[in-house]
Amino acid sequence: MSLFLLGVGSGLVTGAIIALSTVGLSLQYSVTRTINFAHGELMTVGAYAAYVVARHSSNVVLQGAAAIAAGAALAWAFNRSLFRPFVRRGAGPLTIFVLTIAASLIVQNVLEAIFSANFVNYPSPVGSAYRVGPFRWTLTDLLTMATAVAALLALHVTIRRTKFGKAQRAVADDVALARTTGVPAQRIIDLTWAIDGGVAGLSGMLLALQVGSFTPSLGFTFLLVIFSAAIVGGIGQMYGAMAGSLIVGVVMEVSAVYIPPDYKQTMAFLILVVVLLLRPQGIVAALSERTVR
Amino acid sequence: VINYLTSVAITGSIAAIFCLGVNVSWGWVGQLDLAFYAYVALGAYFTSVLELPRANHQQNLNSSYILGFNWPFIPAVAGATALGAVAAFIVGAIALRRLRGDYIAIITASTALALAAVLSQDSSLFGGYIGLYGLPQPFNGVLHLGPKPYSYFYLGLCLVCLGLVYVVLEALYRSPFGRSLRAIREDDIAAAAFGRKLYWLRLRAYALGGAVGAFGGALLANYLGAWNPSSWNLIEVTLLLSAVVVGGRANSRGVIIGAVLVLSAIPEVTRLVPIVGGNADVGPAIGNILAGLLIVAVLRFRPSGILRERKTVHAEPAPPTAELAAAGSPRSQGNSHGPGGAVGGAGV
Repeated sequence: MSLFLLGVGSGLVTGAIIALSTVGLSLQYSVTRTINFAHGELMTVGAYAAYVVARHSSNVVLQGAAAIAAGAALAWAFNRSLFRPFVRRGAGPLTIFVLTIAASLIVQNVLEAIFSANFVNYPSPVGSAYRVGPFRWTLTDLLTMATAVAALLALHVTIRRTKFGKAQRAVADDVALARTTGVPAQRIIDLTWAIDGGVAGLSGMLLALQVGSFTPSLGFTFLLVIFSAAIVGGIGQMYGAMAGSLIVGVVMEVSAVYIPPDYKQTMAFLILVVVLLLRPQGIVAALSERTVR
Repeated sequence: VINYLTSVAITGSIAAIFCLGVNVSWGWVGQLDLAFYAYVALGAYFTSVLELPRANHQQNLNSSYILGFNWPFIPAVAGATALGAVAAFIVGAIALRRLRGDYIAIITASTALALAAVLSQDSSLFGGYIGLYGLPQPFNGVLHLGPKPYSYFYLGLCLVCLGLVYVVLEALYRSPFGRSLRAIREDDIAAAAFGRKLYWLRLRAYALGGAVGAFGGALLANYLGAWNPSSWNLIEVTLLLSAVVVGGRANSRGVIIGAVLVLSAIPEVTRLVPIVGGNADVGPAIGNILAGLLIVAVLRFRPSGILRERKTVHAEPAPPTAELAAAGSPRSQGNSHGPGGAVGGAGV
């Protein structure tokens, strides 16, 4: 039982990291309706930015700022160079998807050319473990969860309480309608990409803190976990994404208590398949009007 | 130099077979299959365990595997191809159920990753992380060639196989089956209205792609003589995809050109990049960056690829009232001579 609760404890930490990244993906999806296969690279870039800063300064806040900035900059670049020009020319969602695959390939290999494909060590202030109720968390774990919760709260306030958030929800609901009522849709989409990149970059840094050392494929190997969480929660929905992330995170870590930890990702995948088989209407019907058998 | 060129040509022709396989799902039907490399891997694994003798646990403590039938080359490759098709059929049966294009991609990518985790963890199936090794050289038990003539022989074998795959796939592309697939790609609702069974057709195409992948994988494993989890990776499938996009989707000759360009020319040229600052990964990385940029450039300036899909028009010109007639009686038009034949070309 205590092993099980230990699994739940680390599941909450993993879930917090997944949640940040998944919420970014969901926000971006809600306004663009295309899946970004290069989403993992936003995380990777955040992790490397934090790593570069960490070589000069041990200030964690500074490292976090660098991660957010790098992720946001890359997402902005995706939007400007790949997304906007092609959407304007009427490219279909599958074409955009292939483009994001290319983007993923490019970013991973640019990082490989700069940092090599070998592991880099990211120093983390691990510290001793604390007992919180039935769980046991290290200082890094607590820091990770606090950061994620703070960032998600900030996002919640932004989306629910500000004028930008209102416009963002309007664009997510119906771009054409939002545009006719005077919402600067393009600017909202641009900003949403930047927010997506920022939170994904931050989540990449938190992931790097957890794993300690990483390669340019850090985010890529995590990508399908993010997709699972997003689909379980109902893709494009911010609060669903948070719930889905916690479910996926906890199942992954609890499974690692009983079976080899290499199967963690396989567990995330199993959840994905079960959800798709049992509740396909929740995912498919809402998105595509064109469902033919 | 000749040795080097031969090995480049062998891997190049095998890569071309892979790309032709990717092209079935992605070019003909327009469904993005990211599990393709898993079928390549399964083909390689299955041909290995069919060709190798029974695993001897006393002698060889490190490697254990299933089967071990000690079969000769041809039945082993045929068996691996069939098993690859079966695997693709099972995955496709789940992935193609009512799912949108990008979900198919996510499900298939997840499948490939899950399979990679299981196959490298479980050492009793295919040797786990260590993999399989010690495959005999095909036909060399009879031919007794030295290493150099043998590599020429194997190149010839690969080229014959590539030609075979090309001819079979071209015939299928022109067949009513291929025509129906293109009709689905262009407009699935219309194709369904004309009596096409979408799920079944898509599934067959998917299994066909998997079979071609497994066939290529079997050739590759026999060339390398060994196969283990580090031989395959999800990222490889993006390179195959870029070769197909660059060469020209649904045009077999274009696909072969794309394969040679993206999978042989670019990696071999970037091999010449000097090692900077002790980072040996710069050369291959630049190759992959170029492949990625090439996808973006082709999609931007020439979305149909280097060679565009040939317009195939059905021999009998469709009657002008085809649409009306079809609206009245979709069933009667539905089988092999449906107006689906007039569809094709155009691209996405």
